[in-house]
Amino acid sequence: MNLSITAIFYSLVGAGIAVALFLSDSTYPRHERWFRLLTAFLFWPLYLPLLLKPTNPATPTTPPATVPSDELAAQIAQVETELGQALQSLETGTDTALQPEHERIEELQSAWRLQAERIRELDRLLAQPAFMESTPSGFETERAAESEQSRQQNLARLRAIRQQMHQNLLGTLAGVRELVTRIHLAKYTGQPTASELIAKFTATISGLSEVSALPIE
Amino acid sequence: MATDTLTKAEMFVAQLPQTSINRSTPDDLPVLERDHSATSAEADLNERPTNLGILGLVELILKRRDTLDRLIRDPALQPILLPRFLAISLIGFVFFGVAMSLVLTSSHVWPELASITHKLQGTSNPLVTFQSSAGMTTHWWDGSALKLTAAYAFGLIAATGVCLPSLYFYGLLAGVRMSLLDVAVQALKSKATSAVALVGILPIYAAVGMGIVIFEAPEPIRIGAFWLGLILPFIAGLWGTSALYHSFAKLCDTLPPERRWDRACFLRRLVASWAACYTAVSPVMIYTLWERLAR
Repeated sequence: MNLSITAIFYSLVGAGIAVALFLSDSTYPRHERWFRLLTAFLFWPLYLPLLLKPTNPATPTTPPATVPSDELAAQIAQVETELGQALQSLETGTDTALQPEHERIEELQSAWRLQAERIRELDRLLAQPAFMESTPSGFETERAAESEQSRQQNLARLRAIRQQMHQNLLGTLAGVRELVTRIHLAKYTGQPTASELIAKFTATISGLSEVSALPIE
Repeated sequence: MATDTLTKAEMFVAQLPQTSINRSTPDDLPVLERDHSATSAEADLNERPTNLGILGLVELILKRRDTLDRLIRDPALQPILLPRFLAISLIGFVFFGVAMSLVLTSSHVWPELASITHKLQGTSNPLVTFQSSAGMTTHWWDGSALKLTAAYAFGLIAATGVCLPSLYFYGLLAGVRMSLLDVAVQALKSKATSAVALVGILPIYAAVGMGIVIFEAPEPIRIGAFWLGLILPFIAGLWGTSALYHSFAKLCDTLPPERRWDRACFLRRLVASWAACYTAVSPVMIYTLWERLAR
């Protein structure tokens, strides 16, 4: 096979890859698409990995409607990141004694996500016009006035529960952030020691789990 | 916004030193000194570049290689960065071709190439001879300058494509978690770094070339200067090799901590071997193309 035949085969493959690449991405500006078409024809071995890149099946094709992106979610994500990094930094050392606590940490994370979701549910509920705070007036019967008063009391109670849940969750998250700093402190100073840290850790998680529990009225 | 902040936080924490300070007694707590590397990393992240155009990338190559090394590991940016690195490389090599042609035509010489096949069959002619030429514009009009430029621009980049699978294989051999796309982007970043270095060297070489013409230097010096010009992309390639070497060294953070040190040494040696392999392939590629185009 001489150079001419090699060049023909090279060009054929290059043409195929260039066209495939051109058709596969329509999001780039026109001049960039043409540049990619031309250079993919000439340097297709460099573009082949781009074409063969697996499309992420987890990538949603529609905007995620169920994934919360509010301030609460951001705070939870922040705390989870900090906690994950702190635990990871311990695992890179010699301390593996915290390994059994992982399940409890996962339970705790599930608990505060659930609590955040309940707070959002309550927010959605209380944001409806029918659940807005109003002054009862002009009822024809006494019974109707009593019902309305009772209804307002229930709404006030719902708001109080929402407030309590929100405060509990924020307290939990603040506690975990304190725990994270304890872990880093232990890593850099040796105080508290591994056994003390585990004891603190277990106690803190137990405490946090209790705090995370939904208020039962 | 929150996701961006979190990504920054994660990246910043990842930059923190993983080794703990020696354990000490409570009365003798160590003084924690300010970690300048972490601070600089944080500052670096805070000023994350928004301009990822050609000029923005050139600036990153010249000034903030650490930031660039982090950016090219972002799978979302790789499809964008790959053609831009390629564009930087092509522009640099085209500049070189034009400058080299300018030096050669100003000196009234042009290289004549012998066939590799004939050389292998035992003919005694040298592979490259510098022949006198009549006018300065002759080789511009007959397409010789274009052929030289095309051979270098295409050859240097196509050789990367040829050597790409071996770099991927070397990475796997060392245990680094990287895809073929990662390898392609790393290789092209290295090529773009070489091209930027080449453009930086070119004015110096052009001045030397013009000095030789103006002061009518002796023949051996002239020939030496022409050869220096022809191998200039390989000298500039040392910067690219260095960039690739350091990028791959950073990829060792994907390795398990207990094996990181041994594997890092192994990986660096493999990258150096790959650079040697590329240095062997690319001149052959350039020469073959140039000789075939010049027929």
